[in-house]
Order: sequence, then structure tokens, then C-alpha cells
Amino acid sequence: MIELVDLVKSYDGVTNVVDGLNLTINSGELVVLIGSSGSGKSTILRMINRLNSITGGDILIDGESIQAKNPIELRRGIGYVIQKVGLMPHMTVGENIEMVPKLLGWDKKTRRKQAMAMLARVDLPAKEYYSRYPGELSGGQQQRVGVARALAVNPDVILMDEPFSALDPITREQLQQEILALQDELHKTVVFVTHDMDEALKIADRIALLKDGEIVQYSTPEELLRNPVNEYVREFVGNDRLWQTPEFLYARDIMRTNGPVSA
Amino acid sequence: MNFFEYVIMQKAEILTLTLRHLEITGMSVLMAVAIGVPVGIMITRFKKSAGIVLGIANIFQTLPSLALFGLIIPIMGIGYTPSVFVLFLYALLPIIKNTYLGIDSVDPAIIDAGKGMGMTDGQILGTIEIPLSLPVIMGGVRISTVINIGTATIAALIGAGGLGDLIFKGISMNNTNMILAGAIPTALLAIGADYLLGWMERRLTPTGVSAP
Repeated sequence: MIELVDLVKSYDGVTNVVDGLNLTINSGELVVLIGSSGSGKSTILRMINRLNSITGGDILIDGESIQAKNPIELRRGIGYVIQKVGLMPHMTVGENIEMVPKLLGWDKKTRRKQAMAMLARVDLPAKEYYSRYPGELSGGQQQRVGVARALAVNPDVILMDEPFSALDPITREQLQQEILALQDELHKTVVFVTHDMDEALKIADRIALLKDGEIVQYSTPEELLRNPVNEYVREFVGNDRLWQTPEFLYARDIMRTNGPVSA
Repeated sequence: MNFFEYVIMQKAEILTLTLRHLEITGMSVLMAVAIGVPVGIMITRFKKSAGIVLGIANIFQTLPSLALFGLIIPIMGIGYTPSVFVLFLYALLPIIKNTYLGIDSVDPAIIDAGKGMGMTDGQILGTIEIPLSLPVIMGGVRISTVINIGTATIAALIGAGGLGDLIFKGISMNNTNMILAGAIPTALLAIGADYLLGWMERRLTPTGVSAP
């Protein structure tokens, strides 16, 4: 479980990018942070693995403050996937995936086995891709490796910072499906940042809609569609979104309820 | 006597001076690498100092070499040591600059991913930044070496020895063969060093990264 408690972030000491934010993410839950640019969503994500420092308040993982931990060890225990992937271009796919296991001192055989298993997990034929270099892969394949790398030491928590935003719509769709399938199996605690409402509705257990460093609404996708708390949420979600998301439609939504149809 | 007869007659002398030339150049470049690479790395960590350090190194580069050799005499005298020192100053800028640029141009996303995975600063430097910028750093070493092979001929004026001896002696004695016997090996050394270091540069480009 990740708890953000009265979280404050300020870069200049004057304006708060994140302003007294409270948010609880249950274990095994995939929570999407969504908002327009400057809403503080990426800042929050990067505070969870201490790439951004905390100005005020605290973040607890399983009840322990992350500020009490060594940032290097903390990060090795958290999966991290970013939009630009950030694979090491001079290392093979295998070496990239084995990076954190290597930092943690796993022996070579175990590392290799794990890398192979992770490649298979993200639907890349392990034998074929293990020795390739990132430059030889497509954007979608690279991000699959990025996901495999984040899963390599089997962390409980995974942070994803707009991981699919740079991909073409078809690849993005595939990877979203993949994440859903992986999540069904692995039940990680995932914090996922995006600005794409379709993506959020598709993959989230719960969505936190942010504006100016504060949470406007934190609810399930369905709740967000049906009961937006205010006009901003309604607008952000889009008025006819419910109709474009038929998996959230019930018969009563399209049924006439004002009496029988007269002949 | 034609040029070839002259070379054959003086081959021992030319060889000694060529080796001396290589020694002066090699020593100054090695020293510049030993100092320049760490300084280049350091100024990527303290960005504010980068302008100052590169500015100072730039000044040495813009001073005419003849003037710098002259200026060093009251301080360090003449001979091997002051010559190597001046050449070292000349070699410094390309090496510092290329180290700085090489490391600075590593994709920030890769550094971010490394940090996010829990790599220490030292691990990021050693396994990401240096390997990826090595070809650029080598490029700086190459430029320094080639420039210094040329500049080292002027060091003969303050008693460094080397192929410059033949050139200046030839000028004062109006002996074209002697001038050429100094100038041609110098040019060949420069071309050879450029080729060799260029080859090393390509060899040091990590697999998976296309040559810059």
C-alpha cells in the first residue's frame, strides 16, 4: 500500500506544484494519475521513488516512510518505466533487463534465467531478442523491454510515467492489453501517469484526476464517468465518453423508462 | 645532392629527432588526458564552473604558440619540461571540451532510467556516461595529438629537440633538403596519428551505438 499524506512539493519555495495531497493506493491496485500538463502528476510519481525530493508531508510504502530509507535501495525495489524508455543503447536487451538484478548481486545464471522469463512475459521471443541491441527494435518492442526491465526483480510497486504516450495507437493499444493481462496475473501495486483519458478508463482500477496539484476526484473509472463531481471533471472526461465506452453501459442507460411505447 | 640522398645520409639523425618529437607530443597529450578528462567530467557535475573552465582553456588555445613558448622561458627556462608543459596547455582544451560535450550529450532519459533503477552516481558515470561518450572523448584526444605534432616543431625554438630542429636549421642555412627532412616526417606523423586514433575512436564506439 502506498499512502501519500499531506504531500507538498515546491520547486521555488513560493508556488506549490503539489499542494497538501492525500491519496491511498491499495496493494495490487492499478491507480492512474491523470491531469493536464502542470497538474503535478509526474512530479508526484517521481516523489514516490525519490527522484524528486519531498517538500512537505510524507509518502508511506507499507506503512514505512520512504524518507527513512536509502534512496538507492528504495529505487532498486521499485519498478520504473518512463515515456522515453531509456534503455542503455550500448547494452543488449538481456543486459538491460539484468541491470537491477546485477546491482543487487544476483549471479549470472539466475539473472539470465530471469531475463529470459521476463522477455517471454512481455511477449518477445526470448532467444531471438536477448542478444539484440535496443537500436534494432521498434518503439513498441523497446517499451516491452522497458516493462520487462521494471519487472526483473519482481518489485511490489511499479511506477509508470506516460509509458505508452510516444507509441502509435495500435502499438499503444496492444501494450495496454498486455499491462492488463500482466496485472491480472501479477497484482502489482502500479501507479500510472497519463494524460490520455481513454487509456486511463481502460486500464485503471481507480483514477485520480488532478488539477493544480490537488485531487479533484478519486474514484473508479465507472464512477468517474457516471458521477463526475464537478464541471471540470465532466469536461475533462468528455460529455459523451460514456457512450464511447460501451463496457460501462448498462441496459438501463439505453432503455426508455418513461412508460411503454404507445402504438 | 637530392632529397632522397640527403635522407639516406641523415637517416640516424632523422630517426632520433622523430622519436624525440613523438616523445614530446605523446607526453604532453598523456598529461592532458590525465588532467583534462577528470576536469571535463567535473564540470558536467558543476555546470556553473563549465563556462569559466572552458573559457580559461580557450585563452591558451587562442594565444599564438610562438608567444606562449616565449612567455614560458622566464618562468621555466628552456628544454624538454617547458616545451611539454606548453604543449600540454594546448592539448587541454579539445580534451576538456570533448569530455564535457560527450558526457553532456548522453540522452537524459537514459540517465533518468538509470537513476530510477537505483544506480549510484558512480555507476551512472562508469557504466553509462563514460562508455557512451568515449568516442567523443577520443575525438578530442585525436585533435589534440594532431595539433600538437604540428606545434611541437615550434618547441624546437626553446630547445625541445624534435623535427623542428631540422626545419629551423634548414631555414637558417637555406637548405631545402633539411627543411623537407623535418617537415615531411612531421606531416606523416600527423597523418599516421590521425589514422590510428581515428581507428581507435571507431573501435571504442560501443556496439549498438552508431558512430557519431
